[in-house]
Amino acid sequence: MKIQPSIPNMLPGEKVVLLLHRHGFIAFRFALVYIFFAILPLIGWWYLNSNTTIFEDPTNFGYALVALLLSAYALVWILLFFITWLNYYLDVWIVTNERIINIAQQRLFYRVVSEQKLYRVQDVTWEMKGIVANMFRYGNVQVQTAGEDDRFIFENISQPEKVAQAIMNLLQSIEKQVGLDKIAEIEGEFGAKSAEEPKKNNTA
Amino acid sequence: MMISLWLLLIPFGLLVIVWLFLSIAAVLKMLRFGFLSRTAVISTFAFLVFSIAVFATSIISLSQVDWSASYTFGTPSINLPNVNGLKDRIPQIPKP
Repeated sequence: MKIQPSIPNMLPGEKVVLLLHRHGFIAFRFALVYIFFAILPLIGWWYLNSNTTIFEDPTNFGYALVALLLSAYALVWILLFFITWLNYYLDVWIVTNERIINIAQQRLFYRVVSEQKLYRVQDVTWEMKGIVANMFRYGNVQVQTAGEDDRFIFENISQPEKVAQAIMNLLQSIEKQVGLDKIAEIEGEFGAKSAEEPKKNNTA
Repeated sequence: MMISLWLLLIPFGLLVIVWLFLSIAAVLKMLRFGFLSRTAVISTFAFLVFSIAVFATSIISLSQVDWSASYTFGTPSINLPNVNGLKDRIPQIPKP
């Protein structure tokens, strides 16, 4: 759970309460796959070195081909690793004192940003599923908003129970601050729009 | 079939161009949407450092190759002179 001082398109008086990424174990899982693919060319190099004479003469065709292929492999590996890390790191859920923002970095050129006003949150559910999730204490938090079929789902975040509690605390403080009548009034004003989809922005 | 070794550098060059384009896009995205956090800056810096290391290693290993050389693939056709009619005396394999 990290707290950052600012977010893009911040509203006046808005304060970031939670800035959440997926749990580090999820990053570790994909890092393992990349480590495996980093070891593969080393095995190939060892095999060629022990069974052929390619590396003894750098002027032959085999050496040129292997050097080019290994260079290309290393470049692609490092780029894909960085892009996968970017997709992981830029998947963010932000809870401010006014709204919930869901930023999904699907691919390098595909980014979806959804947001919902906090006072429209109706219930919050959290779950920790599986042995590994319970060991490392990560899980999902589902936020149900008024009149929406879709839920905001914070996937594989660390300590989901504390996040759910923090959102409920924020809701209580909003209810105390604004008053339930005011919230009902606001919802009444936007009643016609209550069934609409959460605001979504697609940015590449 | 004769092939000049430097022709192998063409697909590699194209790959490097695509790599540069995607890398610049990825770095810009990380710095734009990563909230300029310490993790974003460190991971971008690590990516750049490792990329430069990979490029340097590649250039060192590729610079040892004689790219002007040509290589023959497949069975080369040999045109021997017909000295003393020896070529005519080579037994011909009957075609089926």
